[in-house]
Amino acid sequence: MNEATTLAGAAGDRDPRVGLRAVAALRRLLEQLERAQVRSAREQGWAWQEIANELGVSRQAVHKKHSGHSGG
Amino acid sequence: MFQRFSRTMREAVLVEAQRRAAAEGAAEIGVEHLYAALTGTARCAARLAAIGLGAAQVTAVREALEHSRRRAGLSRRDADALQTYGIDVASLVERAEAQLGQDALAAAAPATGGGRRSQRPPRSLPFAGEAKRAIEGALRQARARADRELREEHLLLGMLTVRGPLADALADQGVTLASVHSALDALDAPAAPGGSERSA
Repeated sequence: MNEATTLAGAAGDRDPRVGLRAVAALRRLLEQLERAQVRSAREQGWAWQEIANELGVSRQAVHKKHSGHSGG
Repeated sequence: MFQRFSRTMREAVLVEAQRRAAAEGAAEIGVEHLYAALTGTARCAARLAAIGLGAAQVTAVREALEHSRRRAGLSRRDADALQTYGIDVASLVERAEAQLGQDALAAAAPATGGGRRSQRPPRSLPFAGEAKRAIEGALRQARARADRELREEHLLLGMLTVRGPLADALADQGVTLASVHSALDALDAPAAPGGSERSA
């Protein structure tokens, strides 16, 4: 590893490993946050269609993904 | 798939992983159940300690995994990577829990009291995708080391081939593919040929 690569790695801004790890982590964080927010919306009586509208996806998509967790 | 597993691995570790997953109400056997079963099996402890996973490391990894679980399954390394983009996982989780309740972003098994799901009878659970990959990795590692039987070290190596909070927590304790392989190489090499303790 040359000096420039080492410096870039130390700065943490050019190392693909850090960037890709952040992407994967963000995806997992997003999934959990979505799950928690959908559950909360259902508990407050929101319809699947309303939740889908806010998320910008189809009702079918949100229902398929989350209905197992909401008991309804 | 399991015929190469040693008796201890088959009768203790796999059975225990199944039991732990069922007890948690999990739908699948995860790699963390395999790990907990491996490190919780008394017969495996000495071998694991010999390859760098002693009692202190096991405790530290367990604590790191519990920490990760509450943070959407993110490891310390994941949180560090997000921090380079200015995303503070700790405060995000804190706010989500203040808003949505404790364990709001917890990964995997539902926490007690949170779910309304019916009690399912304990039955044979399938392996989750990453647990399957860990087992496949273990078989590959056994083959690569020319070992006929799949033992503790192979399962540990297999788990280390799967990216995620477990491999990260192990790496934080100095347990990596490289460290385990070199520990095994040292154990395999008998103190016989050209011993360095004799100088003349």
